[in-house]
This record gives sequence, structure tokens and C-alpha cells, in this order.
Amino acid sequence: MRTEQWELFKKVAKSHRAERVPLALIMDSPWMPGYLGINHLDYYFDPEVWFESNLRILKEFSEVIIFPSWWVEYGMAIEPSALGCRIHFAPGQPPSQLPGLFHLEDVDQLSPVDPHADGLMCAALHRYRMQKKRIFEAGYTLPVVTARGPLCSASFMRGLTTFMIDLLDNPDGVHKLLAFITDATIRWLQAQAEVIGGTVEGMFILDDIPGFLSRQHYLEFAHPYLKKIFDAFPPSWVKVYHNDANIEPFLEDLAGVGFDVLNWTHKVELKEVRRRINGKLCLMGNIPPVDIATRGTPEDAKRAVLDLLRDEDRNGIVLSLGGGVSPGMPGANIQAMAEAVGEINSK
Amino acid sequence: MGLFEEMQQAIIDGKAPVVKELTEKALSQGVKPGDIFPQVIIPAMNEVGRRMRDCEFFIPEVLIAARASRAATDILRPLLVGDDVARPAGTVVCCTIKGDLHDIGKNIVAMMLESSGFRIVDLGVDASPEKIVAAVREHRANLIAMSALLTTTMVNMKAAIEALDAAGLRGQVRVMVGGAPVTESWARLIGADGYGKDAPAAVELARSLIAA
Repeated sequence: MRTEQWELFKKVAKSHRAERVPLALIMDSPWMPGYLGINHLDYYFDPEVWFESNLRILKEFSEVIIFPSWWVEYGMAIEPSALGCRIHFAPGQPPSQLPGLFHLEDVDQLSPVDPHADGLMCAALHRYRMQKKRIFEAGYTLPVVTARGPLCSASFMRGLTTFMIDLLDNPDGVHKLLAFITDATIRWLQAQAEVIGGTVEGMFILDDIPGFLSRQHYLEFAHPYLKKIFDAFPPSWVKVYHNDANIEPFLEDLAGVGFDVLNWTHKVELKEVRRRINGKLCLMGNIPPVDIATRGTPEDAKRAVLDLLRDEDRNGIVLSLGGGVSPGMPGANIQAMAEAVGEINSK
Repeated sequence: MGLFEEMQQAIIDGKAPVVKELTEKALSQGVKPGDIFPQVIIPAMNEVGRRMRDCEFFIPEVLIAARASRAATDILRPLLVGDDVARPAGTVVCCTIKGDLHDIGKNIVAMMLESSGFRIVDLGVDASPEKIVAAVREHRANLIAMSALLTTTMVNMKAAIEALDAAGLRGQVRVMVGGAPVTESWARLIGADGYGKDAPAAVELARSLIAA
């Protein structure tokens, strides 16, 4: 994103007031290589392809805030790769991660993660280090550091089904694992901020797994660890949390985690989230990412944006999808969303 | 509380060792193995499904309940070979579709279906159309439950249905689909017979497809 786009995003996130509604879309490798017709492996491992791809997207959708901006990612593999999981690169799609912690008690044997040396964290940091000057010179900024949340990473390490059962079978072991991952996550975010430098004033945490839990389990296993991560960084930072699973059981509690902006699922209506959050968070959403944004026509996408904001107070809203940009989302639909937001802002 | 109620409660509470103990106790008291499925396991798992639908249970609670029911079925199945009363409600090939390594949705559906009296052939994750066709043929399955968590992989569901057509098996097997990006309209578009929005819905759908 460009600096002025970040300033707008920051203003809405922090003050909930701005002269315009921003349109911000989470764009990453599940979508980008397919859209550009390039090989996923080239996108991940050829710095030139990665740079040119991001530049092309930024130029093509210049009205859209591409969030989090020049994101160095390898699907969801960065954190699990540093936490001992096997990363599996199938052709034509982001990598998958296979469980690596077969016995929960083995968490005691793990040595602390070193983001500068471990797994794809090291590779991502190197990419930021080598490309940042070029990014700045092209007129863009790098304001946000990013990580998967602790439950997401734990589910990669254990396998999701096993991890869900762990919560009931061995809660003490789960707490040990989550404490370990939380520390690793904080170090990983700090390392990114250190490498990127002074432009960083925001963080983005993605974790859908709390959305599989009851409120009681959310409060025990998710809330304290997410809070510790957000609280580890300055209050002046813009803090964004993504969870497009079922957040309804603990929606009110999210206001106390310590982030400013919530990106949530289209399955919970904006009005309902607003009512329950009661103005405590900026809301980033929530056009249906698949049925409308990907499978709908440009007219559908435009109408969905106009309908969403028609009777809504536009303060404290960043227009986005209920999640990230899904594979196959047509460029025309992104343009249609931008057009709709432009119309709204011109009134 | 009678023994059957106690067993039901232990399944709902996810207490696998208690379920095992009570199942053995019931058998030692002369309870017919064929009575335990309809009078204990199926009603207990129906209650689990209801609690999930009503947001009283979430994924972890459903998983341990299904695991507890398996503690009973593992004991009962060998005793029920050839017993008409305990004939499976149907044979279901369960899988996560080719290219997709996410297993939780498939696992929950498979466990719930098994606890509801279906015989499960679990192909795991990343199941190719060829593998699905071979499993349907080998196990004479009458249902397929396919899951996908990614929009990139859900297209492979269509390829699997086409492969069943090409193999001449489509007439003998009903196909149901589910998973985060999957919708009713997608199910119709690819020619599936139904869409289950969650595990309890998948169980109901499986029953209705078999009955149809």
C-alpha cells in the first residue's frame, strides 16, 4: 500500500472517523499466483517474480488498500515450518503443513524459535531485508508485521483433530504448547519489525481456530494468548485480527483482546457485530468472499457493497471481504467493489 | 438412571473408558449387542447432533463424544456380524478431496455417521477421483461424503462425480458434499445429491438419501 492509504486505514482504525470509507482487501498467495497466471513456486522462491507480481497487483488495483502490503508469506507455512512441521508443496497451490508434534508432552523438548534462523521465517526476513529499499523507492510502504495466531500454529503442530481433542484430554499440556507458541509468535513479529525498520506501526494476527470453540474454551485457551501477543507491542500500533470462523460465542470478549480492527466472516451480519461490539472495534468486512466476490458477477459485487453500507453509519468501517481474497476472484469484481466504494465516498 | 441411560450420558459426556466398561457390563448382563445400537448409541449421537446445532456443543465436545461411541462400537461390531438387526444403515466412502489435506470436517462427519449406524470407508485426505471410484466399487458403497476446505480444491469434487459417471457407478451411489467453501448451490452445480452444512446435517442428509 501507499503511505496515504496507510494513513487513512490508521485513522479509521484508531479514531473510527475518516472522510472516506477505505476499501482494504487481504491479498496473498492463495489468490495472487492464480490471478496472474504464474507458478506458485516461482511466486514464493523467485524474488523478482514476487516483487513484480505485487507491483502489478498494486498498480492494477491502485484504489484498493492491499493488506497487509507486500506480505512475504508462503501460504500458512511460515510459523509451522519454524515449529517443526513438514511443509508439503503440491503443484499449483499454497503449501500444506503436516503435524510435527506427535506427543504433546514433547513440547518440553522444544528449543525456543529463532526467527532469524528457523524455517521459512528466516527466508521471509531475508526477503524483507533484500526488497524493502526497492519497495520504498517504488512509492510504497511496509507498515504491518504479520503472524498466524497461537491456536492456528498449535493446530498445525498437532493436527487439527488431535488438537481439538487435546483441549479436553490434556488442558495443561495445551497451555504449555500455547505458551511456547505465543513466545515464538512475539519473537517472530519483533524480528519482522526489526528487519523492516521504522515504517512498521501495525500488526496483523490471523487465527480462525478460536472459532471452533465454546466461549468457555475461548476464554481459557485463546483470549489470554492472543492478548499477550497484542499487548507485547506499542498501544499506538494499529492492531488487526482476522478470524472468519464462528466468532459469535465470544464476540463481546473480542473487544478486550487488545486489537483495533476485526476482520470477520460474512456469516455474522455487520449490524449484529456492531450491536454486540458496541463501537469498541473498527470493523473490516464483510462481503461474502466466495458466493459474491468470487462466483458472483461484477454487478453482484457492486450491489453487495452498496447494500452493506446503504443504511449503515460509515464510521469505523473498512470495507473488505469476510475473510481474504479467495482463489479465482475475478479482477472485475475487485474493480466493481472499488467503484461502489468510490460512489459511496462521493456522496 | 438405568444402564442404557447411563451409557447414553457417558457417550454425550465423551467418557470413552466409562462407555467401554458399561458396554461390557451390559453384555455380561445378557443385553443383546443388537439392542445397544438403536437404544443407546444412535439416540446419544442424535443428542450430540442436537447440542451442536443448538451451539451447546462445539467441535471438541463432538469429537470426544464420537470417540466415546466408538468405544462401544469397537466391542459390538465383531459380535454383530451377520446380525440383521445390526446391519449398517449404509456404506459411506468418506474423504477430503484431491489436493486438500484438511481432515477435521471429514473426520467429524465420518465419526458421526459411524455412530449413527453407517459403515465407513475412510479414504483420508487428498483422495483422487480414481481412488474414490475404486473404493465405491470394492466396498459396494451406496454413499460418498466428500469434503473440501479450499476453494482451489472444491473443483475436484466435480471431477470425482464425473469419474463415477464414466465408471458407470453414478446410478448406484449418492454423493453428498460439505466443507467451509461449499454451498448448496455448488452442490447442485456439480451434480451432487446433497449438501450438509455441518456434521448433524450430514447425518440427516445421509439418512434421507439412503431412504429415498
